[in-house]
Amino acid sequence: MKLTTEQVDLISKEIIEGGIKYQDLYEELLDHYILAIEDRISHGQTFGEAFEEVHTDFINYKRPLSVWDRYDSGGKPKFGLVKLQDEYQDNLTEEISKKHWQIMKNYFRWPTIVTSLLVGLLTFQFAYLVPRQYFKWVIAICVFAPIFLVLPQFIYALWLYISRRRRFFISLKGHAINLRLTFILGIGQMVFRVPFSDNYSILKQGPLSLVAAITCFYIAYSLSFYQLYRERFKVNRA
Amino acid sequence: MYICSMQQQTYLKGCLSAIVLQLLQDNKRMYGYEITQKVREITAGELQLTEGALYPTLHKLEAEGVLSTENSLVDGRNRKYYKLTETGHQQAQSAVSELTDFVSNLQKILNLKPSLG
Repeated sequence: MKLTTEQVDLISKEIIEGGIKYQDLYEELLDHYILAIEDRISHGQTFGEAFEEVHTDFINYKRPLSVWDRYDSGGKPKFGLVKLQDEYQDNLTEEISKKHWQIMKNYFRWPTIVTSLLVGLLTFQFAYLVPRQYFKWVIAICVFAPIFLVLPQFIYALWLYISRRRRFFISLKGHAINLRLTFILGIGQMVFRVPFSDNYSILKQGPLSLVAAITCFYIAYSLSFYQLYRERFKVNRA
Repeated sequence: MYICSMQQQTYLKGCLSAIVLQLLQDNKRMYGYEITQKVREITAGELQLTEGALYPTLHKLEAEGVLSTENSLVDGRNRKYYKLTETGHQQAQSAVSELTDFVSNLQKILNLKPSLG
């Protein structure tokens, strides 16, 4: 038996009140609740009984204690939907970060290292041949290319959110992308303006070899982000 | 009707990843609720995965790149399907063979008869 709109709204409200704030997890939980409740109703339970049973299974979920929790919550075990979300978020962020650095490290393994060395050598050569301001543009392109890459997906999500076709703007994967982008923007800012120094810029006054090395890092970071995005962030639709 | 004993739940927790990987190897792609129902169907209701244990396992395997996901629109809502990645296929084989070895060793221990004379 299909649930009524009011019943679905009630489930949705409970999930949101449980602390869920990411669209992908919200959709997954809502679908599970609806299916599980419909199934139980077809076996003779009332909506209330079925909801209670399904909800209890989720809210009784105890997240394993992590080291950070000792500082966060005084070492108390955590329960409920929001804890399921916290664990998912921690796992995803950690694994995505690990994967990103792994892709970067692969640039220094055989046979990719040959291409990396060639790009590195060319950059060092160019550092002495072309004016410094060109490196500013290369770094700016490398910093902003990942942003432009994910922009269509973000605009689409925003459009769905504004047109009320999704409950939340951000998804867990979107959150993980944000963290990666914040990192590159953060260190990008440091290259253009060294913290605590008003009149020193690595690009303007720093040694040329350092400028070339930084440029190489940004090229590698930008390319690895593209690879990571293709492998892990693209939402597949069947 | 949907509950199996606490002891069984404890045993299940330890081998949940292997169960999920094996089911996905056999069924190409599955969604969360479908996995719980499949386990129930195969074991004739003897075992029931709790949602609170299943989803963290699925999410962990997804984060590790063992599973990939795809969304399909069903009844006007998005359904998230899980399927094995290339790494996932390899991991599924090793996880299942490890679990089989473990169960067979366990059986040897449980079948031991006291031989003290």
